[in-house]
Amino acid sequence: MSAPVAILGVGVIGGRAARELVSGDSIGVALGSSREQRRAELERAFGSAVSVSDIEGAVSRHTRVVVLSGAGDDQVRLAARHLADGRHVITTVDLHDDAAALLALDETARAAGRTLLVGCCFSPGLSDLLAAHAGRSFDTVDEVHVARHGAAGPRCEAHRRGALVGDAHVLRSGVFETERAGGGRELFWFPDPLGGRDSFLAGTAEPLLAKWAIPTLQRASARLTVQPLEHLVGRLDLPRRPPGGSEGGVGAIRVEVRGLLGGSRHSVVLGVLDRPGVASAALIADLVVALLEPGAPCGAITAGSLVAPGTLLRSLRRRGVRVAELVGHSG
Amino acid sequence: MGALLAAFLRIRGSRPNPPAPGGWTDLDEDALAEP
Repeated sequence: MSAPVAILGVGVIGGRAARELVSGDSIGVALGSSREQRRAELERAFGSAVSVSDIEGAVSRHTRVVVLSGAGDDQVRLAARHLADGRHVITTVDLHDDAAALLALDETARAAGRTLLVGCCFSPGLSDLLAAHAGRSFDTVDEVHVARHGAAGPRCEAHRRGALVGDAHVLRSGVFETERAGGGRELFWFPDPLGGRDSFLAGTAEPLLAKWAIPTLQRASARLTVQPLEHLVGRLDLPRRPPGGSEGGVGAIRVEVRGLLGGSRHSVVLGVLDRPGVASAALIADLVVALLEPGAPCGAITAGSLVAPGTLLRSLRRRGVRVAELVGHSG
Repeated sequence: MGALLAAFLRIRGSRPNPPAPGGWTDLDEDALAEP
C-alpha cells in the first residue's frame, strides 16, 4: 500500500473527499473505517480505485496526509498520534470543544514540523476561507459573523442539533463570553433561493477558529438556522435524519466580515449555496493537494490560512463550489 | 413544560421576512483574485 493520503472514519464527507481525490486529482487514497458494514459498502462503491481497511490498516509509512472525519474525540486522539508520526493532519470537527482540544495540539504540530488543519468542513472550514478572503479587502478586520444552514449527513445533523443546546461561545471586545445556545435569534439572508432564515446562536467552532486566525479580532459569533417547529420537536428527542436524505439537502453559509478600510467602517458578506458534503469534500481535496506540495506552514491553522484564500477559492470554483457576495446591503 | 412553552412562543414569535437587503452576485475567477 503506497497511497499518500489516508481518510479515517469515512462518512459522507470522507467518502466524497475520497472520490474527489481519486477521480479528480488522481491521488492515491486509503480508506479506514472501524465498521465492517461500512468497509463493505466502500469496497463496492470504489472497487479497486482505493484500498479499504480498518483504521489502523489504512495508514502506512507512505502516508503523508491523514484526513480525519470520524467522531470528534477520535479526531483529537488520532491527530496527536499522526502528527507525532510526522504526517500532516486535516480534521473535520465543527464543535467548539473539539476544535479547542485540537488547537491545543499546536505545539505538537510545530515540534513535528507538520500542519494540523482544524475544522475543515462546510462551516467551519469553507467559512474560514470566505472570512480570510473577505478580510483581504480591509486594513483591519475586527468582526466575523458566520451562519450556516444544513448538514452534511447524520453525524453532522446530530452535531447541529447538539450545538443548539448548551453553551454558545461569542467573542465580544476580544474576550469569549458564554451565551445560551438556541437563543440570540437573527434573521439572515442566505444565497438564493434559500433567502431569509431565522438563525440562532450555536456551540460551533467558528468564533474560536476566527479568533485563532485573527488574534486581534474583537467580535465573532456563529449561528445555525432552525427549521419551523424544530425547537418544539427537538425537545422530544425523536430520531431524525437531515432534511434531503442521508447526505443532507442543499445547505448554505453566510460570512459577514466587518472592519476598517481607509479609516472608515465597512462590511463584506460572502456566501456559498451547495450541498455541505460536496463542498466540504472539494475543500478537503484542495487542502490535501496543497499539503502534498512542499512549504506548508507548521502548527495548528484554519482552512483559510494554508494558502492564499483567493487561490483556493478559484480552485474550488473549478470543482463546482461557487462563491457569491451580497451587494447593496447596508452592513 | 416551561421549555415547551418557551419553544412554542419562539415559533409564535416568528415574523414574515422583510425584503432582502440587496442581492447575491456570483464571484467569477477575476473577482476571486488576490488583491
